[in-house]
Amino acid sequence: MATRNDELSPWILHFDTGSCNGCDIEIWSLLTPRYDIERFGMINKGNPKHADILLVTGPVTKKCATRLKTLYDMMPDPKLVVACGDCASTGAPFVGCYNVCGGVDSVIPVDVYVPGCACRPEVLIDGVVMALQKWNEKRTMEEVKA
Amino acid sequence: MELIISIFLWALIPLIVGVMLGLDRIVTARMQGRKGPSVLQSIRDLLKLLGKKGSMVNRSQVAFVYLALALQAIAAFILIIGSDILTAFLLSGAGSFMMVVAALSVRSPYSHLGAHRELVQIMATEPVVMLVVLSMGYASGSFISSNLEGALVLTLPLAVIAMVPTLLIRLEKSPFDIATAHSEIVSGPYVELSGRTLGISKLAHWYELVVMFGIFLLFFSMSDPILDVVVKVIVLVTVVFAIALIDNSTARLTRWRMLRFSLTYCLGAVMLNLVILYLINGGVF
Repeated sequence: MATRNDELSPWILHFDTGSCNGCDIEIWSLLTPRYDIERFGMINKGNPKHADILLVTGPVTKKCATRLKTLYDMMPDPKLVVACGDCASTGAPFVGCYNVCGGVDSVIPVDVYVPGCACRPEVLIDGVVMALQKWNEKRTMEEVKA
Repeated sequence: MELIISIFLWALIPLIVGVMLGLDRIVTARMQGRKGPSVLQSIRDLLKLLGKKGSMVNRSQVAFVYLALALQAIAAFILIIGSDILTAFLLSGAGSFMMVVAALSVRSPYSHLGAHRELVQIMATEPVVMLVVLSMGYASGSFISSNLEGALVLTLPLAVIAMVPTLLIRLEKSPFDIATAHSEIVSGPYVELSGRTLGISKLAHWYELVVMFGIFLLFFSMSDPILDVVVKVIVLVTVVFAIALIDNSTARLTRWRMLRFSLTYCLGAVMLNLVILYLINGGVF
């Protein structure tokens, strides 16, 4: 699948923007012996400055929108965003609520949408792998910009 | 010829430490019933970080991080070419202190907390290692590592045991992962570093580990070069296993308990060993 060093060591930051914790539990289950994402070199980092991939769960509430944007801005380029679950992808049942902005893409650009309520751990791993394939495109774009 | 081998070995340090840390991660994963990453994972992480540009909070922090790397690399070089252990140890101590200054040069409270805890860790390890190095000098009459007596472990066994908690503290492993406590203060002194600067600080830490493990392995020097390498590799692998076991079976201590543990039991063990050696040399036993 991946060959470059940066694709083999994606460090993950997880942020809950108002989720019911269903998707969060599935993300945490990735660390357990059953799924063990460390075998792909993935580590859960609690620090946006060290992270490469941002996993967001839940519809973005208006209170959380600025925090999400700040976290995104703090991550060093090239960075990837994965919207985990239906709420993060579209806003799902919360679209139009007075306190909700909608999906994650209404605040920051999203690279991969992972469907499901809650999203399954296997699909999450697939989503992150798909995000890694986008890495090279981002890197080339950065080099062109520079 | 020996100098060329030493320089070659010094250049290979990142590879050797990377594999050692990779082995540690695999052993940890297997103890937790997981498969674990590749043995080269730590090296991949380092290469990824060095390839990322990252953001810079201020210039002084970056300067201090590079200074820490330079001091640690010189300290490791001095130790590997078989020169003065005391100089290597003091230079490495200065390098650790540069990381504290780097962490204090930004405004993040987590970084400051980490820096203060790192200082407590330095307070806990430096006196012990200092006394260990002095006792090595007392036992063999020289601080030049190539002039040390072989198999010092037989004359200073308690000093070897006292070095193990020091290695745990320097490796930032439980129960002494106090400065970089990830669930408590995110990652302490490293919190504001990103991309290449984070990679450089990791590399500085790897060279620091080489100095600490180098001093530890000097206890197991043998006169026959092949036997020397075999014994040192066996000791290193055993220590990595022991450290992974301690890391997985203990909870984090508070910083004051770490300080008390290190400055009573570890320092006491080395002192007791020195007293016994003094009495033996004086012909009491």
